[in-house]
Amino acid sequence: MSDIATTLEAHDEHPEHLAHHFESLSQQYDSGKLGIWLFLTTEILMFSGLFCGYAVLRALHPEIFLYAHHYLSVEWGALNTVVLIFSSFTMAWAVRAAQLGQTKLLVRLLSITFACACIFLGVKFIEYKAKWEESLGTGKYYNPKEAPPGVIIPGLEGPKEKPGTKEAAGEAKPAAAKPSAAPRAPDSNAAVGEKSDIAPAAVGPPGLSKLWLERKQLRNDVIWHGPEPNNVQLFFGIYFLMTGLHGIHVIAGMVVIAWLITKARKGIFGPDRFAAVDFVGLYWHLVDLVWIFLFPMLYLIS
Amino acid sequence: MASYQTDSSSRPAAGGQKGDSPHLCEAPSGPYGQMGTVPFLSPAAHAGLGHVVPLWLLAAVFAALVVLTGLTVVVAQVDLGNLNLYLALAIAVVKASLVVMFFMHLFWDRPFNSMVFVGCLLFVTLFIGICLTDSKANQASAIPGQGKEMSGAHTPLGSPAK
Repeated sequence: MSDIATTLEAHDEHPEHLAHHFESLSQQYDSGKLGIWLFLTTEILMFSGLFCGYAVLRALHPEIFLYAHHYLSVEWGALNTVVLIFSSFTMAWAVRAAQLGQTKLLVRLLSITFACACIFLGVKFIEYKAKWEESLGTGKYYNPKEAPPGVIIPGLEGPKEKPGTKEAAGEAKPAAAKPSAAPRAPDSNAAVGEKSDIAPAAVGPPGLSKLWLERKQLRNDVIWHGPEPNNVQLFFGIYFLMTGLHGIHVIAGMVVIAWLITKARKGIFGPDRFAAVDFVGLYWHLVDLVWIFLFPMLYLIS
Repeated sequence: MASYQTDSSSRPAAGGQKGDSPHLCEAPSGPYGQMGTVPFLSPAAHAGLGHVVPLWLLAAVFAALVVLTGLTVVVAQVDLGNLNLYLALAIAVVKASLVVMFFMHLFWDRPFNSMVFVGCLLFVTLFIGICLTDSKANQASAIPGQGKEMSGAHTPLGSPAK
């Protein structure tokens, strides 16, 4: 009872943002944080349903994943991973700025985080668009015309049938059309770069650049034994569901970050009032966390 | 329990606070840190609200995450058989731990939040583990000769012409 009495007496002194049903700012902050962690738990459990579907399908039909992941671009995926990690870094820094009351820095960092989210979705759009154009959907929307880049199905009619001749022809054409084009050999080695400047080297006896290209080709090309596996469309079902649900979370994160920016501009965040930034940060890191698992699971299969 | 009650005594001495030391709290503690009846809702042992992570640590975690991303891409190019999957997952787990501990402050946070998180992961493991064992325990069809292959609507590329 005496506690209640003191609370009532102290009513006029408590900070504006301390809700009445909390005893102290610490208690309010800790309760909020526990609430956010419980929310993140439900998020993880929701995603785990999809991860479970992935695990079961991959255990039963690994060939679908071994084949279909070649349709995805590791470069775009890696770029998005780095973008998201960077946005997580700026978000964590933003929490620090809010705790220290650095309003200008906070607004700047939140804006960078928001921009990173835009870049992430932009890359995702490019990837989805490519899948759409190649008819790489799920169910009846899976109707690709070609095997994935780098995958050779022996016996399949198409330009990829004979890697040896194709490579030589493909090499000769650009060299003839654009003699002054930049060498395709790695620039790190100066000797290799000089060698490949000589146009006929590509069609004549194998020079250093051609050797390098052949090696690269050998490293990248996968000879697929037998026809395309059945039900590759299931991979794209999983791919679109997992990255799609993740993308929805990115969009939700962008909405709350935008809300934070408008609040931060008013300069309301400071050493004893940064919970909103902190909690949005926790959510944003979870979005990053999911992607950290999605990237190797979908893009890097070998 | 005692540490929650004697909150002010466990607070680092004011003279000992250096700008960016990772274990010291920079936020001013204020007059609000005295209540502590419910253990996991009571004020933190280090007083003040939350923990301010030094910038160098955030940058180091970011650098480590980028390096690990590069590593996982490079490792995936090398064919190690089954090991590839485990290696990729192990790297992902290391990255996730870095994010959870330092970006998400769980390293300095109340242990109860860690309990909630780890408890959640245990349930996820249970969920996926049991589903995996179960999926391997069934055959495709009880009818002999049936269900050996699933048939898709799409004619597989490279399949013999009909």
